[in-house]
Amino acid sequence: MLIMAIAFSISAMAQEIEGDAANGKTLYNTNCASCHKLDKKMIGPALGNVTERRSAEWLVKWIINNQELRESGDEDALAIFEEYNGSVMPAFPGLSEQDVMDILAYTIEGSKPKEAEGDKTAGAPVAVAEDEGDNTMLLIILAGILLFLVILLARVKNTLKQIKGEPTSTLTEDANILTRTALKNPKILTVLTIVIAVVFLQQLYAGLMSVNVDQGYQPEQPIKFSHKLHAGENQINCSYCHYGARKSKHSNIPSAGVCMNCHMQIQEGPKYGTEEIAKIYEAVGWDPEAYAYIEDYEEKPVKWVRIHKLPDLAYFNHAQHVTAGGLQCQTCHGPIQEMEEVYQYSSLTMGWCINCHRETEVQVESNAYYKEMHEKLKEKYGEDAEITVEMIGGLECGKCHY
Amino acid sequence: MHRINSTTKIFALAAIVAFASACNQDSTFRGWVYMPDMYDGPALETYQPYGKFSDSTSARKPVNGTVPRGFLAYQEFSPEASGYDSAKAMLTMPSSVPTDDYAMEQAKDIYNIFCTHCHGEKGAGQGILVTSGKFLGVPSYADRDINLGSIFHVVTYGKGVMGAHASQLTPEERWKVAQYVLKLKTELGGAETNEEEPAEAESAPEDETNMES
Repeated sequence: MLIMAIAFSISAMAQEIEGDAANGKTLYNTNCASCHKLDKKMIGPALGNVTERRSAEWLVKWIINNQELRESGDEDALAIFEEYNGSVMPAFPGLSEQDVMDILAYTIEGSKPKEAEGDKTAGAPVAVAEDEGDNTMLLIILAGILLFLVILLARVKNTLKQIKGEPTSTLTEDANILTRTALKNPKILTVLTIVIAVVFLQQLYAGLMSVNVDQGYQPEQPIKFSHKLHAGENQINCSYCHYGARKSKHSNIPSAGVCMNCHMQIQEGPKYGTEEIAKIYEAVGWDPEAYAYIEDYEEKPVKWVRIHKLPDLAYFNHAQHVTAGGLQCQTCHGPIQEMEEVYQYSSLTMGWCINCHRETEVQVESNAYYKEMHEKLKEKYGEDAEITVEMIGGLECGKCHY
Repeated sequence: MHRINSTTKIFALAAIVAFASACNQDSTFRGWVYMPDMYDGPALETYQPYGKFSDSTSARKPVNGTVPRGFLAYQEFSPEASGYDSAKAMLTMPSSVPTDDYAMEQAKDIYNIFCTHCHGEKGAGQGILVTSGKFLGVPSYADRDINLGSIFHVVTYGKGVMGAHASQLTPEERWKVAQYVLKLKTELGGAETNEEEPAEAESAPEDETNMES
């Protein structure tokens, strides 16, 4: 009886909300979402199915002007104000009663489980995994077929020999005989020696030349951070996180606090869900349930693995290239916005540096700071000459080695 | 004949070893170094781990009371809501902050790096993260009662879902960006705001972000 009564009262409350959920969603996203989520507590309480907890009449009053409601001595209003440590919710005099109804309709509509969407996301990664597995499987099957053919042929040969009455031989014996005959032939031996020598020398050369060159280095990072998602899809400027590149020698790795600028609100990623974002929370001591930093938490550094590393004997300055030179990050770091995991794109050898300094034209026109120097250069090389980095001293030893 | 045979064997073995080592395709291996002493100097590099400190990081916090380069003296307000109110009422821009066209150009660059993805190029709250539905609750500057002091306070300490940007921007840069935000607010006016409107002529090539190379 009691349950029925409660159920009835809930449905009665739900029924009195007559609003346009689509319009409500727009209003909710502009006005409410900065402090409220539907399914989780944020700065304010979770609003999913809030109409089951409060009457619509009360909610309208509260949303449009909560201060007035509190001053009128409403107990519920004072209680919730106390519960959230007196943080003030702004008044929304711009919203009409119907607007609030629309928002409330959205809080009901938006908290219904989305089954169809869940299925889609669950299906996608499986398909990707199959694609990756295909190639290796194909090779294994091919190798199996070839092995099977070799054994089959050996059997056929032995059967034929048996029919003729000759002694049979095993596969290893056959291989031995073949090698011995081949090695007795001087022509085969010469060709073989030359081939092996060439391959050996080429590999030796390539091996030695690759010492100190880390091109393609792609270590595993402590957090599966995707530049493709952040810099590519979301178009967040590189300098937002690596703000040091504009001002200093070193391009900084963002502190976890910078991650928190967005990930306070974005608690779930499209690929790894909450797993990877939870690592940021562990580093800074953020409790996503309580929506607050844990007090007296000992912060833990995120131990990112360094990829780009110049030897100590060479000096490189980011600000000089990014701010003064006006280079794009991608010139040296490659298509970062397409990299799921970052790898070293350029070789970072001295030849690579020098080559770029020879070819890159200096932006003379838009740089008032070097006006005097640029005029002297024009005098020296002619008015229309292309001024490269080399001409302003970009190849001098002391510029990078000191 | 026997002699040649063994020479070939040695050759073949060497070739296999060379091949195997050169074909080390493991991308998680950094590679070999000729002279590590020249490669890694004795001085600590940025972010290099250092065992002498208990947390093994070489990056240390500056001593309390350190004055950073480019420091601007300004009144301190608390990060709390009460601090916001008093900053809005009392915080004024130091006279040393430039307000000329060049400063506004810089401010625009800073705004396009640090603000556009949420607040949108025109400040209408329609940045790419908002339009794609990833980050919600970004208001238009036109709808907000803001002044220089309150903008500076919010950029410094954050407000609502916006985080603190004090680590990313120097006080001077924050003042410049606050001026630019007010400029955007005036441009938006009280009229209907639409992010899709064609950009003004002056804002064409410069504000391409790093992504678009």
